[in-house]
Amino acid sequence: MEKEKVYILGGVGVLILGGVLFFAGKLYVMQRNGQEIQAYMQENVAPAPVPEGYLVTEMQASLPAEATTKNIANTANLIVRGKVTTIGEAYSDQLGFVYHNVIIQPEKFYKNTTQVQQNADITVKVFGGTKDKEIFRALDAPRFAQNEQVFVFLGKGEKDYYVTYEIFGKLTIKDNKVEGINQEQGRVSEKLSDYEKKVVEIIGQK
Amino acid sequence: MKHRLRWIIGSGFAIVLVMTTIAPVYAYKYEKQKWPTNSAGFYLDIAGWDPALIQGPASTWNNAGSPFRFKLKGHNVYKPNDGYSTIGRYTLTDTDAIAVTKGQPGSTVTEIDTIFNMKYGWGCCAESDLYDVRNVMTHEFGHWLVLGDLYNIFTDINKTMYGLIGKGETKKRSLHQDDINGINYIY
Repeated sequence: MEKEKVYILGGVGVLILGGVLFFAGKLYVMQRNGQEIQAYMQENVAPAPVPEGYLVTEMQASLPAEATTKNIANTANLIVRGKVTTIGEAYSDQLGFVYHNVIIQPEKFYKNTTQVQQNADITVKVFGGTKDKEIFRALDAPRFAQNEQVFVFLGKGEKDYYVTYEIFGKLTIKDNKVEGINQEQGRVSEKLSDYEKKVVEIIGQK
Repeated sequence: MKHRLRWIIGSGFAIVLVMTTIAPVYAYKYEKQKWPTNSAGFYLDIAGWDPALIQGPASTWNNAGSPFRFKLKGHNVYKPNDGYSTIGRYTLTDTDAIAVTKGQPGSTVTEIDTIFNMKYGWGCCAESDLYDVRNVMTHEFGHWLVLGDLYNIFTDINKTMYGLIGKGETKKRSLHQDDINGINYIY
């Protein structure tokens, strides 16, 4: 009888510990994801010191919740992998917001609801840029580099495209790996083929 | 046996505690700019919307325990860089942003404007398919105070300055203690 009691109590203890560890693991992943997203944004927006004589203006965009791969992929009109060939000069619109255009040479389309020609360059309008010695920083905006290989989720704007969910909708391809952020994983770093498969599955489900 | 069970449960909770507090987190994020005085006047360009939808969030921050006050100055047709801090509503077709707030350069704030993106549907009363004006404006007024967006889904999701906003969401209307600490640190 005494032995049975010990087994029951031991079993209960193990179950409680398992539950606590499971819960702790979940909390840890959520916490880590949040910190990774915040850190990625900081790195993205302010990697270089401000040159002397330049001024900085901040722009903050509030984004829709649930910036998950599923939502981003389903919202996008165009999902494409390609190479950044041109980063244009900054300009402001009639509302005073500053943008610059990024031109992407597509290599592979995953979703193309706007029927872009397979070999046509894609112009993407991006928040921020430097204009007349004034740096317009947009913390939530994606940042592109010349010749960068990218995997982007794009929405159709008035004339050109824009990155859906801003910073969450642009990933860099480096050494056959996709790098960026999303809400379910925090920092993304996975094999291009695995990521492609995931995106294709999401689009297929819709 | 009882001691062993207590030890197991105690260890579990200790692990939770360590795992969730192991890395530093932002309580609030201050972007190092400040209004020259403890007040900011704002103008409205929101024809068709009840001004109370903007005045409510202003009062929320005014009642946060700091001497800083937002004051409604009147109507102004939004023009960028005109010296009048204005809240407007326009369609921004080239972004998924729900609202955008833009400051001015320099160490002191001279003008800040907020534009609500009319690409989306807006509501007053927590309608599940609309973005709530008061919820979003309370967040944007945080940017007027130069508090930055926070993105930690674990530690920040209940704060007004959490950077992602859901339809029908109203929790940003009430300030979290960290938001209150933010304004009281700056002013």
